[in-house]
Amino acid sequence: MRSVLVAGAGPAGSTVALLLARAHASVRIFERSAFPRTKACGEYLSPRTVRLLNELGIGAQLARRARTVEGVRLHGHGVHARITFPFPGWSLPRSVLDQVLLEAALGQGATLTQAHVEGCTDTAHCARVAVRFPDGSVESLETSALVAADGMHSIVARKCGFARPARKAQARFALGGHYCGFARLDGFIDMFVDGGSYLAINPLSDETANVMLVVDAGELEAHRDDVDAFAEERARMLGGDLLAGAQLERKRIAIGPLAYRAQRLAGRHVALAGDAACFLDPFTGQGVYLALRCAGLAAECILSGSLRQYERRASREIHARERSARRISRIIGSPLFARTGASLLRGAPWLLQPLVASVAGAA
Amino acid sequence: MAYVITEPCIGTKDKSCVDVCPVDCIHGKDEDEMLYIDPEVCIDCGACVSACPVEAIFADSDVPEKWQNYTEINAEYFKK
Repeated sequence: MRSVLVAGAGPAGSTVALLLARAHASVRIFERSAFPRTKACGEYLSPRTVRLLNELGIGAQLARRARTVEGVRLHGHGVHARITFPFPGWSLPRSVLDQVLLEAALGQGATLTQAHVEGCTDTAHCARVAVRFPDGSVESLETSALVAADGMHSIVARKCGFARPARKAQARFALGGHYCGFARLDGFIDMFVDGGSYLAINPLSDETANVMLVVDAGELEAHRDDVDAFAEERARMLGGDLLAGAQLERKRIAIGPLAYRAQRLAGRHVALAGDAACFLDPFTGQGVYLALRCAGLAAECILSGSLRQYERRASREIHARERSARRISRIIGSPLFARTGASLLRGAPWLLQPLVASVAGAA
Repeated sequence: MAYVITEPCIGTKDKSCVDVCPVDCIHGKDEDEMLYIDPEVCIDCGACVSACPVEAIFADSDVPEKWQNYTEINAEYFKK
């Protein structure tokens, strides 16, 4: 029986654990946090992601708790455009998604240990994994397959030499939070773009929304003395009437630098999945989709005994998402393109809508 | 909440973390043995964690027990 270790119980880790356990592998998940827990994230699940979740067999459970997203409204450069998805996406708090996915994996026989994976060596015969338990004790485990889904600052990626060095130049950072007290939220995500920064308002209920601001690192540094005040001011400037009257609940969370892709995705006994492999700009709304897709590929490659294939297959998927992200950036980043695009959308939506919808992960 | 630089930095002082920090909250003079994160300025983005070549940086809730004194050491540096 195949025996696999998974570092991280987020969407990527839980999904690979679920698929492997379903195929009768023995799966042990290590997670340092106690669940349920919140995660900094846009909390948007694209229509294609919804489809994947249905294929995993947990769609019905999540549908009861998710909010339907019918499409996206883009505002920027004096232009307002509405893109309706061919079939709906969802908005759903990560605490719920992650908990349901983890429980599904445990239900199939995977086990969960609260511990921190803090080291890994990929040798000729196995992966040697160093695990630190809450009481401070450390254990060294050997496994024929380790899936490292330990997030964008993946320690496994660094220890195995798969990580890419971070660069601040031209990097962007996301500042996100939940706002409550909205006057009118409907089934659309609103995205406001202005030069280098953008704001996304993703309704989680009729009165609350996930509000995420993305800015250049340079702007954050210029306002280092009160980052929160700067973020609030910029969010209000971009969000205008829609954001007026709503207030930030709890603390804003910062993530970055965006975006990131590991230099290598797999070794002999180690595969990276989720944000550890690739962390996209949240604007694309494809982070969870990519995590689930790579988890599926990792499970297939492990079950077929060929982890080497994972590098090629997962890279293809990541490149496709990155191309998508660049296309979206161009559409919303260039005033001329945005105006052309928006008038096409208004005058001949059948022309541009499928392209934009597919790029938004809706087809 | 903030991030904390711990023991592996001593004698290393690589400074990749300084380059990647968006709010310039990591400091240390030539004569200091390590670098320090200002917990008042740190926005918890975690960018420094992967930049560090010796894995010296942890979120304050994740600092290994043997290095928990470093949380105060980082904060103390900026109280002068």
